[in-house]
Amino acid sequence: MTEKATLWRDRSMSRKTDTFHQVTLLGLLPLLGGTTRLSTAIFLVISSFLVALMVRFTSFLLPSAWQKKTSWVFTVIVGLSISYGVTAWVFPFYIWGPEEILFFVLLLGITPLTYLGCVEGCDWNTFFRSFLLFSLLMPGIAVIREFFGQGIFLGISFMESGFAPLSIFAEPGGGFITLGLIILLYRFVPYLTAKNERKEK
Amino acid sequence: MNELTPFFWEQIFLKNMILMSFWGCLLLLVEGQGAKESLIKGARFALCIALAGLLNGIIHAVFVPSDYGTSFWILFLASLVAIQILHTWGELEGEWMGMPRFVLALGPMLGLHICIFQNMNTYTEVLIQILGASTGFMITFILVASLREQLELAEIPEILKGYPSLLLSMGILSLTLLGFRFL
Repeated sequence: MTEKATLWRDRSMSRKTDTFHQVTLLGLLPLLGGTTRLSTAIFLVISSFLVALMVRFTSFLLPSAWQKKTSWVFTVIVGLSISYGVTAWVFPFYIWGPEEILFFVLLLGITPLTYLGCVEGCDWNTFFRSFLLFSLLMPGIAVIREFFGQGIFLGISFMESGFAPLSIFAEPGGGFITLGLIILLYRFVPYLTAKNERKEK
Repeated sequence: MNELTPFFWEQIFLKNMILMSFWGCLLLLVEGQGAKESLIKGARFALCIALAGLLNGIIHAVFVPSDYGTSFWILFLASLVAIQILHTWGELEGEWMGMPRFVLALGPMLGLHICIFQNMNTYTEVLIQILGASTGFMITFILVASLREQLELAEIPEILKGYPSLLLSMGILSLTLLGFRFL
C-alpha cells in the first residue's frame, strides 16, 4: 500500500512542471463550481486574472526580508482583501446572472491559482501561459456543461421544445466528470504515441 | 424526528463540502493518501474545521455585531488559528507547487463559514451546520482516499490511472449524493 501511495505522490511530483495539470489543480474550485454557465465562467476568468495580477504586483512591493511563510500569510491577506473588494465593486454591476458568481469571486481569495504569480521562480511567461490555459479551460468546460446540462448556449436555447437535457452535467457531479474527461483527452495523444512506439520496438 | 435533524443530514449529503460545494476538494486531492493514513488525517482536518467555526461563532456572539465585513476577517483569523493547530499536529507541513500547504486548508474553512454566515441562521442551526459539514468532510475524505488507493491497485489502462479515474469516480459519488434530495 505504501508503495502505491508513494507511486501516486511521485507521479504528482513529476507533473509539477506540467502547466496543464498545474492549472487544473490550482484552479480546481472555479473549474468545478463556476462552470455551470458560460457567462459565469467568462466573468470568473476575467476576475481571477485581475485579482492574480494585483496580488502579483503587491508581492513585488514586499520587503525582501519578508520571505517564506511570513510573506505568504501577508500575500493571502492581500489576495482575500482584493477578492473581497472586487466582489463589493462588482456587485452593483452584476445584474444579468445568478448571485453565486459573487460567492465564487469572493472565493478567488482562497484559490491557489490566484497566488501562482507569487511563487518563487514564476516568471511572466509562466504566469500568462497558465492564465491563458485557464481562460480556455473555464469556458470550454462551461460550454459542455451548459449545452448538455441545460440545452442552452449563452442563454439561448438550440433544442426543440420538449427536449430533456442531460441534467447530470449541470449538477456538481457533472463538473467532476467533465474535468475528468478533459484530462483524459489531454493525455490521449501522448498515450497513443507512446503505445505506438512500444509496438514498433 | 427533530426539525434540526434533516438540517444535519443535509450538510453531510446535499451540501457536502467536497463533493457538492468543492471547497475541500483540493485539500483532499493533495492530502488524501490511502485509507489508513486518511483516518487520522481526515479526523484532524474535520476537527479543526469545526473548531474554526465554533471559535468564529463564539467571537461573533460575545464581541462583534453581525457586520459582514468584520465577520469575514474573523473567519480568516479563526481559520489561521485552526491551521496553526494542524501545524502542531504535524499536518500541512512543507510546500505544494511552490506555495505553503496552509493555503489548501483555507478553502474548506473559509468557504464553509462564509456560506454559514451568508445564510444568517440561528446559533443552534449554525452549530448543527458546522457539526454536519465537518462530519461530512471527514466521511468523504476517508471514502475518497480509500477509493483513490483502490484505483491505484485496480487493473485499468494506464491512461485512466491517477486524476481522470479519481475525478470520474468522485463525479459518480457526487451524483449518488443527489439521491438524498428527499431529506
